Amino acid sequence: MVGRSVKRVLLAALVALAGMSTPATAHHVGAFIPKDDDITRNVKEIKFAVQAGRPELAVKLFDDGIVHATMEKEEKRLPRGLEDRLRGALRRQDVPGAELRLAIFLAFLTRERLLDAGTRLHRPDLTPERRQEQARRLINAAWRYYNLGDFAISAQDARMAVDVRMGFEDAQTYLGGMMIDPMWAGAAAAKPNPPDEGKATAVIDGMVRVLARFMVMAARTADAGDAGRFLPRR
Amino acid sequence: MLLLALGATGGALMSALQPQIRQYATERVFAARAVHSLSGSRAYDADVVAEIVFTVEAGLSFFHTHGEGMGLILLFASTLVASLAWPPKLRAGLHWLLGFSALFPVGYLAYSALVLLCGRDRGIALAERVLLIPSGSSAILALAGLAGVAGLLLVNGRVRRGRARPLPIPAATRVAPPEHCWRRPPRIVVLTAALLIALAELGGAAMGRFKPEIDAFTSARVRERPELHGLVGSLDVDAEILEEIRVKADGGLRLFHLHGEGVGLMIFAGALVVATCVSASWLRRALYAGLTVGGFLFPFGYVMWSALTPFHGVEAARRIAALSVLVPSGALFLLALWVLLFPLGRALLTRRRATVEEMPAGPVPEAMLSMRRPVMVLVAAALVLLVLAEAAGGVMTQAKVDLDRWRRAQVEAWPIVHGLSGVRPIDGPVIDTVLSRADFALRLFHLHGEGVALVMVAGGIIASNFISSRLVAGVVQTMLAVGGFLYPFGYLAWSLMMPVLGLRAAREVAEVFVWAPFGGAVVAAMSLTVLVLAGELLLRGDAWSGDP
Repeated sequence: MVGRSVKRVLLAALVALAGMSTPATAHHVGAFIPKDDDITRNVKEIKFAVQAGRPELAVKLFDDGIVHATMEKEEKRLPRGLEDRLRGALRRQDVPGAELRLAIFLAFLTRERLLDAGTRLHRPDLTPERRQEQARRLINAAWRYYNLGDFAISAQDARMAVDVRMGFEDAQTYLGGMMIDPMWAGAAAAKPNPPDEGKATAVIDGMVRVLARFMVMAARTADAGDAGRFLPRR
Repeated sequence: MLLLALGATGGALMSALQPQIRQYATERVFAARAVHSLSGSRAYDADVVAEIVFTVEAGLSFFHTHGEGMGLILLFASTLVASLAWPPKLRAGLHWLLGFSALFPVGYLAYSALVLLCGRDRGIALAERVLLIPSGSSAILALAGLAGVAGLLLVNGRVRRGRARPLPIPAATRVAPPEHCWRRPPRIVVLTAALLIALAELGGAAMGRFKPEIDAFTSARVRERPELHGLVGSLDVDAEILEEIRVKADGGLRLFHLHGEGVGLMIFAGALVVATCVSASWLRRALYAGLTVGGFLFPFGYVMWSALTPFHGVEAARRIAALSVLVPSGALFLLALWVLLFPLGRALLTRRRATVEEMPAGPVPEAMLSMRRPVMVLVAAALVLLVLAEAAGGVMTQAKVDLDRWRRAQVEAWPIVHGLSGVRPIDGPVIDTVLSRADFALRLFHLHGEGVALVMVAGGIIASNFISSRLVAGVVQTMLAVGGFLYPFGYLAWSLMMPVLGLRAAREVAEVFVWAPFGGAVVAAMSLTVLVLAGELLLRGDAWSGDP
């Protein structure tokens, strides 16, 4: 009697299992959290050291770090003398001067990633999905650098900063993505707009122009020793 | 068995319904803005909501892991209470305490629900006060009592051997009649369980030892397939993608280690229950098959996932592993666990178990044979380890703030060791890393303490009942007792030494002096058990017999 009922239950369970048409997903392995990269970490260290009144530590962190190595590599494309003048500002404990020069460096990195994103959108050898995905990833990388320099940029020219920040949102939207934390499940589940590469390219070009303008202006301001007019001395 | 089935099903549902769970939790949080102190500003609320949803998911994950862990602890501990505890009032008291501790995993379900209903901090506090602390304390108390009983019996046995006139033996330690004992599951099922545990331990050891090599291999294979993984040729962007893939591949191996040990123990525990409580021979064989085939294959789905990730991408690898291994074998295993509850429920309702007379009178005698317990030293060591590991789990959560304060003070007292600069914002991330690693190491002590204690008990039962040679059985149990007891303390030592010696030096000390010798002893003991079981199985050729 019992054996029969158990057999029935077993049969029912097997039928139920066989009827599961949608493949269940596999197990959870935890969420991946993007971290600072070596450059942003080094920028922060240099800034904190000079703000804490430790010029020797700031110079050491700069000379031994990846920021210096990247500046040397990109020497010809950065404003002339940026590396030496940044070191000088660190030695003199000129906090606004150092911060503005680091912001120039971050704006340069942002512009490079955005230029790269724009180039990807013009590559005919990639499928539209692939080039949009690559462009989105490069814009995300650009955002990581811009985010760190945003304070100094908005302090120098708030309108420029607003243009760039809105540009990030617009570019992501035109590429079918969104500027939002992926953990925010409700919003992430919202349907994105259809991509428009033409508009995305125009937005990226605009951001590149704004950043180039900022670099020129900021280099001039820093060299004139005027960074202290709008950046705190701490 | 109900806890095991619920815990395993909880894990499966959590994986299958992860997006829906996140969506539901997010909606509930937004529906109760005041409870969760949302400001209405997207920039602020995004982090708050993400943290609450993460806490809800963590509660469900703890239900899965603690459901399975506590199910095994209850099964083995209640067996030891029934075998060792005396007088009857003490035995009944320990059984009640253990029974109450079954609410501990359920407390984590309540934890998730209360976080949504009452807000994060209030919900956690409520779940801890009402369910987690009382039921967890009950488990610790029961295990401590049982460890005390085992210790007394151990001392009593020693004293008795040294005297001319023996001390009186408590009734409970005399040989019980066969119908009151666990019956022997088939040798092939026991071999499968032992093999899975040994492979999982080897996997865990290899994963820790060869992590740089595994990471390098994964990175190299990913770089060979830039299109597949969406590499863009920009160093910073690609570094992020590579790290994500390495984390996922490493996570797959980690899950193999965890599930291999857990499921290996569940196969053995389930087989004991099947052998003892299921009378219909066709059902017994079907359950053995479901537990063994489903359970053994399931953890290899994670190895497959991990191995395929560099070649097919994260999502495709997960889909292939899920469809080909994880879902079919996991479903078979779950089915066996749930079906096993029917004869158990029936026996509970009618307050009886499958009697000897109901067992088949044919040529399969294993169901008639009762099991011996492992040597008392092994039992006592495993119980002490279980108590310490559970207590560490409690300390880890209840005294986290004080522990972190102590660790921070230690790190700051050794600035050169940790390369501190004296600038707080620069040193902050360095100190935070040490603190989080030390907390992680303590968590590993809790996890490994409980896991290895269960392996010690199960391995001891297997060695004393399924290995014919008394010498080999003795060697295996000694290695398990010494290695198993000391191995998890490597994680405790690592956690305590880290703030003083630094991350790398503390790890190296723990590896050389504790993990390698004592962890090696456990791996060797389980590997030797597998080899002997396999050898005896081949020589006897009777896979279904449990008779040594």
